[in-house]
Amino acid sequence: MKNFTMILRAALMVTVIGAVGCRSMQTPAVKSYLDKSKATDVYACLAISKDYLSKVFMDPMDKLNNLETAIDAAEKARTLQPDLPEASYYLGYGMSLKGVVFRDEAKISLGMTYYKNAITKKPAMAGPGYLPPLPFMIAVIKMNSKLNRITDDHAIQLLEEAIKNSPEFAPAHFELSKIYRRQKKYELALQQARVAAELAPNEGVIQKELGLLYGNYIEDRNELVFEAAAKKGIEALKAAVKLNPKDPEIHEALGFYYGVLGMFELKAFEMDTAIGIKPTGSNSFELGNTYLAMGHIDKARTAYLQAVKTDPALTKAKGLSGYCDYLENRFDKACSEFGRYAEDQSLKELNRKLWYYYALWGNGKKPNGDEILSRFSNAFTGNDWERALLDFHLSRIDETQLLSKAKTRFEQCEALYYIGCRYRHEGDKNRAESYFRKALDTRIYSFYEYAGARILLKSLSQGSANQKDEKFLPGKS
Amino acid sequence: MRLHLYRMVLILILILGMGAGKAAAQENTLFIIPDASGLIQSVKEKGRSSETGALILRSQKQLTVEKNGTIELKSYVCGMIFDDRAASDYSQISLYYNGYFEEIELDFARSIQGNGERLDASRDAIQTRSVSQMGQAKMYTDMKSLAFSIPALGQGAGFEFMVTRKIRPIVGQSWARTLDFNFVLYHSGPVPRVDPVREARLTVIAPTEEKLKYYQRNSSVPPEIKRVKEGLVYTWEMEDIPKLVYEINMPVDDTLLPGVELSSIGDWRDIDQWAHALFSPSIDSSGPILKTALEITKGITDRKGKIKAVFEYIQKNIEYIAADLDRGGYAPHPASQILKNKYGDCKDQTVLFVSMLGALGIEAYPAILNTYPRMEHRLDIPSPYFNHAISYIPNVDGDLWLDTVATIQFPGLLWNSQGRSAFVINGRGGGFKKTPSSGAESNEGEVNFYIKVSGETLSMELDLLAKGAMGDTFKNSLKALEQNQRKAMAQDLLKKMYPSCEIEKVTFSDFSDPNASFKISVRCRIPYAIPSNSRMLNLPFSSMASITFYSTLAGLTPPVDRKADYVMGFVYDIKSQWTYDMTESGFASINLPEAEVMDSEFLRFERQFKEEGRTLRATSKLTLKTTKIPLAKYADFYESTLEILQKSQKTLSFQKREMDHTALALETSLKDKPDDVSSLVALAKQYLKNGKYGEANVLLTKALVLNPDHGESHYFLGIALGHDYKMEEAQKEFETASRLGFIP
Repeated sequence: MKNFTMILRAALMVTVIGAVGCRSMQTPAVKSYLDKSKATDVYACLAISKDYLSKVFMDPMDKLNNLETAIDAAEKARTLQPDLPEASYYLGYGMSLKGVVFRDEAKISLGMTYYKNAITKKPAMAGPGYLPPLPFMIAVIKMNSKLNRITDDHAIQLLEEAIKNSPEFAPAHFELSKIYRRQKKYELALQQARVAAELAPNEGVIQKELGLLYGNYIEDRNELVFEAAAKKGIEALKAAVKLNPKDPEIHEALGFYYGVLGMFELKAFEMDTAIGIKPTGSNSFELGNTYLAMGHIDKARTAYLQAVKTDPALTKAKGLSGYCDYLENRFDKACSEFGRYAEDQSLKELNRKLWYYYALWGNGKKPNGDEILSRFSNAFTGNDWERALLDFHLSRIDETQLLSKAKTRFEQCEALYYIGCRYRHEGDKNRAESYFRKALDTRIYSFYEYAGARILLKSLSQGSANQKDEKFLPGKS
Repeated sequence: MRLHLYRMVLILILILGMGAGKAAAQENTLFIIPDASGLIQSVKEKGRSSETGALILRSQKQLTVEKNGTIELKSYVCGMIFDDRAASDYSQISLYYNGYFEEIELDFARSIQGNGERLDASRDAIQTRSVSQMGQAKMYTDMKSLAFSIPALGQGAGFEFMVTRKIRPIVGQSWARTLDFNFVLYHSGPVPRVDPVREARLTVIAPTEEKLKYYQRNSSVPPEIKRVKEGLVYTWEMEDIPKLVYEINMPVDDTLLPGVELSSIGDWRDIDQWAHALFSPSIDSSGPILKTALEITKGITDRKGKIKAVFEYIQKNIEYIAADLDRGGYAPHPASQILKNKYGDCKDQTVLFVSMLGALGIEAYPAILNTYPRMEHRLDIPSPYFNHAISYIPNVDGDLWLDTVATIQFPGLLWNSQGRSAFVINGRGGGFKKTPSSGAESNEGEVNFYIKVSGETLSMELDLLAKGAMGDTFKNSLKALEQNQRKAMAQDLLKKMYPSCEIEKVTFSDFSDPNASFKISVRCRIPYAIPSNSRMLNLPFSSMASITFYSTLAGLTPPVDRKADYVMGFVYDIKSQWTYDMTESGFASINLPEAEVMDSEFLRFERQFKEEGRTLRATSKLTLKTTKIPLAKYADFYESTLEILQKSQKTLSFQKREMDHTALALETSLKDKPDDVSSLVALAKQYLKNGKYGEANVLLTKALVLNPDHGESHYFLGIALGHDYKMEEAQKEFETASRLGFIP
C-alpha cells in the first residue's frame, strides 16, 4: 500500500504540477477561475475538472465532493464544446471513479466508454501530462479496497488495458509485476518490472522491486542463471540505493547478492549499513552468515546471538552459534547449543540435524547422533535430495550413490562437504581435505557447507602444520 | 448589262470582302464577352466538377496598349457558386487600383439564377472607396477599391462581371503589368480566395513597334501571336487551373499563381532615370537641413557616429505619416518640407536622411525594394512596382543599409528588408544590391524561467527576451497594444501553463524605444502546489513553451496536407533556461537526464542539464538554419521538428531527501581540512552507504596519496572497487588492508 501510494502520487504529481500547477483549488485565484468558468471558458472548466480529479487522491477525505465538482466542471465543458475530447475524458474519468466509490458497475462502464472514446479521438490523452490511465486507477483502487476487492485476473485485465493505451505508464507495469509475483509467475513479474524500471528510472521503489525479483532465481537454486541474476539484482539495487539510501531492505538485499557472488567484504559492509539504519534479527543473522563465510567465527557467533536476541522467533538463526562451535571443534559446546533446540518443532532443516550429528560424533557420541537422525528420518518430509543426504548419513547409500544423486552444484556442494565431514570424523584427513576442496570448487558461496568447508580445510591445514591441533581430529580423540 | 452586272458583283464582293476583313480584324482585337448562361448550363450538364465552393468558369483579360503608353485593361469573370460560404464571399467583390494613375469602370455585374433570370448589381450597391479611409493608419493615399455587390447569389447560381481600367503610364510612356490567369477575390476572410478556373485567356494587343518583354510564370504554354492592323496580338490560354490553398508560412502567393509579367520599359536604367527624377529634386542639403544636420552631429567626429546621430534623430523626430494624396505614391516630398512638418513616409524619411547626410559630406542614396513577403523583381522585366524605400550608404564598415521607419536599433534593417534585392537610385543607371542578412545567433528569442520551491509554494519568475529580428518583430507588433492588453497577454501566457497561478507583477520593456531590448517579465506564485507530505516532486522542463511563443514550429501541418514550400522570414535561435531552485526545500534532483544534441539539415537542437548544489539548470537551444524548406523536403523537416518537440519536454524528478547530516558535516569539515585522511575516509564511508561509489573512490584514492599505508583507506577502496566488480583490484586492496593490520 505504501508503495502504491508513492507511485500513484508520483504519477499524479506529474499531472498536477505539469499541466495544472496546483494541488488545491481552494485558493482565491482558483475560486475566481471557477466563477469565470460559469461563463464561457471551456479550458477553465477542464482545468478545474482535472484539478479536482487529482485532488481526489491527494485529499481522500473529501473525495466525493471533489468528484462531484470534477464531474460538474467536465459536464460544463461538454456543454460549451460537445466535440472536445478533453471534456469527455474528464467526464468519463470522474463518472468511473464515482462508480468505483459507490460500487456502481454501470456508472463505471459508462464512464469508461466516455474515456475510451476520448482517447481514441486524442490518443495523447492516454500519455504523459494527463491523469493516470483510468483502467489502472480502477484496478489499483479496487485491489486496495476491503469491500470491493477484485480478483487478480480482473486486475490483470484492467492493467493490461491500461498498458495497451498507455504503454509508457510505468505504475501499470509495476502493479502488474506485483500481481504476477504474488502468483509466483516470476518470469512475467520480472518482464513487467523491467519495463517499469526502464520507464521510471528515478523510481526507487520500482528499482528495488526489480532488484528483489531477481532473488527468485537464487531461491529456486537455478544454477544456470543465479550468478547472472545476482549481478542484475545488484545493478537494480545500486540504482535504488542512490534513490533511497536509507532503506535497510535495499542494503540487505544488496548484501545478499554480493554473498551469492562470494563478495563477502561488500556483503559485510552492506549488512552493517542495514543494521546501522534499522537493526533487525534478520540482518544480524545475515551479517553472521557473512562473517562465517569469511572465516571470522567469533564475529559470526556474536552476530547470530544478537539475531536471536533481537528476534527470538527467528528460527533460521537457531543453532548457528552451535555450528560455529562445531567448526571450532568445540564439540561439547556445540552439542549443548544444538541440544537446546533438539525438541524445537519449528526447526526442520536437515543441515541443523547433520551438524548436531557430527558434533555428537566429535564428542564421542556417534550412536546418539545416529539415533537422532533415525528419529528425524521417520518423520522426514523433505525432497528427494535431502532424503538422499539423510540416507547417506544413515548408511543406507554410500558416497558414490550420494554423489550420483547430486545433480546441481548446490547439491554437489552439500554432498562433498558432508562426505568430507564423515572422513574428517573417521580420521581420514587427506580425503576430508580433498572433499572440502571439491566443495569449495562448487563456488556456492552462500551455503553454510561452503563456509564450513573453507573453515575446516583451513583448520586441517593448520593442524598439519601444528601438531597440537591433532587432538581435535575426532578419529584420534 | 453584263458589264454592269459584273461591276455589281464586283462591288458586292468588294463590300462583302471589306466587311469580312473588318469582322476578321474585330475577332482578333474585340473583347468578346462569353455567353455566361451557356457556361453555367455546361456545368449543370456535366455535373459539378469542382470540390471547392466556387468554380470560375471563365477568366478573361485583355490589355490594349495605346499610342501614348496608356493601357486599357478589360477583365471579365464568370463563376458558379456551390456552397453558402462561397455565396457569402462572392456577394461583394472589391477590386483595388491606384486612383492617381488608373480609372476604373464597372461595365456590368450580375447574378444568373437557376431559372436563367439575370439580376444586375444595383446602382446603390456600387461604390468607390479610399483605402486610407478604411483603416486607422496615418495614411493619405490614392489607393482605392471599387466595391460592388452581386445580388441573390446562392448555391447553384452563377455570376459574371466585367470592368474596364484605363491606366496611365508611370515610367515615361512605358508600362508594366502582371496579369494572372486566376481571379483573386479579396473578401473579409484572413486570406484571399483563389478558386479553380476552368478556362482562362490573357490577351495583349500592343503596337508592332512596342518592345514587349514578358515572362510566363507557372505556365509553359507559349502565346499565340498574330499580326493585326493595330499591331501584335499575344494570347495565352490555360484550362483547369487548380485552386490555390493558402497555408501558414507559404511562399508569396504571386509566385504560385500562373500569370504573365509584362513590361515595355527598356531596362533598369530607365527605372533609375525615372526614380532619380522623382527623388533628386526633393533632396536638399542646404539651409535648415544643413543647420539641423550640423547641430545634431556637433562634437561627433567619426563618420559612422554622425550617421547614427542623424538616423536616431529622424527615427525619433519624424513621425511616419504617408501624406500622398493626388501624388500617385512615387514622388517624395521636398526634404525641407519633411523637416518642417516633422512627418513623412518611407521615401520622405529616406530623402531627409540622404539630404542630411549629404549636408555632412556623406555619400548616401535612396534604395527601393519589395519587403518580405512581397515578390522580388525579375531582372529581365523592369518595373516600377516597389513598396518600400530605405537608405544605402556605401563604404562605412562595408556598406550600410538603414531604415529610419522601423523601431530598430542602429545600424540595422527590419527583418523583412533583410536579404532582399534593393534597387539603388543614383542617377547613373542604378542597380540592384542585396541587403545584408543577420545570422540565427543575432535573432534570438529566449525564455528564462526561474522556479523556486519553498514549503508548499512554487514561486516563479518568467522572463521573455528577444533580440535582433525576433525582438523587432515582437516589439513592432506589440507596441500598438495598450498596457492592459499587453498585461492580459502575458497573464494569459502563464495561465495557459499554470491556470492556478497568482500573478504578482508583470513588467515590459519600452517597445517604442529602438534601443531597448524586448523583455516581458512575469512574477507569480502557486500556493499549496506541493503537498507537505509529498516525497516526490515532478516538474516539467519544456522548451516547447518558448518554441510555441517565438515560432510556428509547434503547429506544423502534417506532410500529407502540405501543398507548398515552407517559408519563414528569418533564421533564428530559440533558447530556454529553466532554473529549479531547491535550496529552501528538502528536494534534490534524481537521475538527471543525459544531454542531447539533434542536428538535421534544417534544425539543430541541444539540451543539457546541470546541477549546482541544490539548484538544477536545464537549458536548450533550437537553431533554425534556413528560411525555406522545399516541399520535397518538408516531410524530413516535419519529422525532425516533431522529434525536437518531443525531446523539448522532459519531466524532472526531485525527491525529498532527509538531509544526510553526517555527510554534510563531513563535507563542511573537509572544506576546512581537505587533506585530513580520517575525514576523507569517513566521508567516503558515508558515500558508500549512500550508493555514491564513484565519489567514495575519489576520496579514498586521495587519502591513499596522502597516506599510502592507511589500511582503512585500502579496505574501503576495495569496497568501492568491488561495487564496480573490479574484484581483482578490490581483493588486492583487502589484502593490503589486512597486511597493514586493518580489521574491519
